[in-house]
Amino acid sequence: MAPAATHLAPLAITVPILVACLLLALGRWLPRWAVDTLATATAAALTGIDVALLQASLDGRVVTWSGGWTPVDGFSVGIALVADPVGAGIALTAAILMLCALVFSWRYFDSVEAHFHALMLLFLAGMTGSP
Amino acid sequence: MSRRARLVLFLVAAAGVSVLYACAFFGMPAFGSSFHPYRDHAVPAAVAHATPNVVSAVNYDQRALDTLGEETILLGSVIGAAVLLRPSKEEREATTVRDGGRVLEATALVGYLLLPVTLLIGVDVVVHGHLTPDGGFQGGVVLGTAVHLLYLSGHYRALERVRPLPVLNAGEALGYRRVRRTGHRRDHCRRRVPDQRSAVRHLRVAAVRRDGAGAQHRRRGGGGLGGDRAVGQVPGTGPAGAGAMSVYAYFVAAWLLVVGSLGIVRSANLVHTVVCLSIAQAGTYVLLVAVGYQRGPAAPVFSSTNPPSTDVVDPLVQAMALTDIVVSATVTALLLALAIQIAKRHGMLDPDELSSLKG
Repeated sequence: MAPAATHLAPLAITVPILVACLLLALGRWLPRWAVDTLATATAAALTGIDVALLQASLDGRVVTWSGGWTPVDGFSVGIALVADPVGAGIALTAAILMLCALVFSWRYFDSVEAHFHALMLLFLAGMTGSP
Repeated sequence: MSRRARLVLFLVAAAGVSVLYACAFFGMPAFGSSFHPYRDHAVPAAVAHATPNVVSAVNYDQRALDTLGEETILLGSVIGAAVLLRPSKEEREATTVRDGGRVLEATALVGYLLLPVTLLIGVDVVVHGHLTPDGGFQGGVVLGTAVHLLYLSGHYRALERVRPLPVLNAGEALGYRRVRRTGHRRDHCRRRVPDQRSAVRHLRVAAVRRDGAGAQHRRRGGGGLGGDRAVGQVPGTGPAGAGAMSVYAYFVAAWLLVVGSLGIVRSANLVHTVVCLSIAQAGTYVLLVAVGYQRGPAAPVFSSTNPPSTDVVDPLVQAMALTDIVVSATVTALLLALAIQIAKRHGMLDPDELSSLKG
């Protein structure tokens, strides 16, 4: 397992949340195409991260101890993010579906504001975090 | 589905859940037992990081990912409520509020009686924030409740007078700035103030001592899991031997859950449904607090009168209860916003009539 692989799981959760916050803060001033591009690019980046995570998890489960609370004597007070092939696969499916949904909404919704994209990205973060 | 069929379905489901709940209850360590393996690891870990408030250490350090999730839920429901309550194209925001509606005299009386009491309790919690888990943010919630009692028992004008929103917004921004500056300055403080330094050293020494004791206990063959406190306690012996109190707390938790769920099933008004949901959620707070109950030990917040060597209760359940309260409040707010939107669209809040509209 490459050392970088353990960074993938936290990235997959924090990146959409951060972009969602960014969209909320700037959404009022950004033009619609910029909001759409940013959200879709994030979903695409998530798809990339999940592919890398799936690849890494095929060689064995990728375990990340959040906050650096690695176990001492086999016991940790922290929370572990564990990516096995099934979990990473489900996260990848969610990211691909989100990418499709955002591409679809690009033309379909006329009057949505950045709220919609922020909520979609938060939803993706939740979907990625749960499996 | 008719109301009767729904009730029957609920009773069947509730019977199943009750059986599972009873099984879980009899498989648990005795009420008030000192068997808390997570506590035995979390407390030394917090002390090793020089954090005197172990509940805050669990919330913001050890299990910070949970809190990130909680705040994400909060963010999501704030956006959701904003989207739901935003005036649509053909609507305008009403700037004048008409007086009207009728307040029951009993409601008004209870509201005005509770107002000073609630204000006092809120101020008390805020003032003692440094001694309570999570730094007294609950005090803010209590104060907010007190202010809104005015709205319930009086009218919107009264609420408007005591709630100068621009001032509150500015105060919030200033307070947040102060929090950030305190965070930046923490390192300077550690270098400069001798008291703080000695306190930190004191915590560290205690951590080493505690770890030493734990290791000794393990060497004696006490098992690696329990740490230095689980001596003489056997897990899974059930609540045998404990008094009626041991059953009582779990009974109250189950009762709140059942009453809340029954209210949801029989509800004829969506606002009533939301209130019932928060009653059912109150059951989970009672359950969490009951799991962590111990008669002797102190609160998991260390100070000069409560040094790190003292026995404390489990910080995990308290941290989880705090997370639970925030999530419950955000869900309630989002659902109420949803109810407002439904009332605006359909002019009614009866779920049965709404579903008959759809079909």
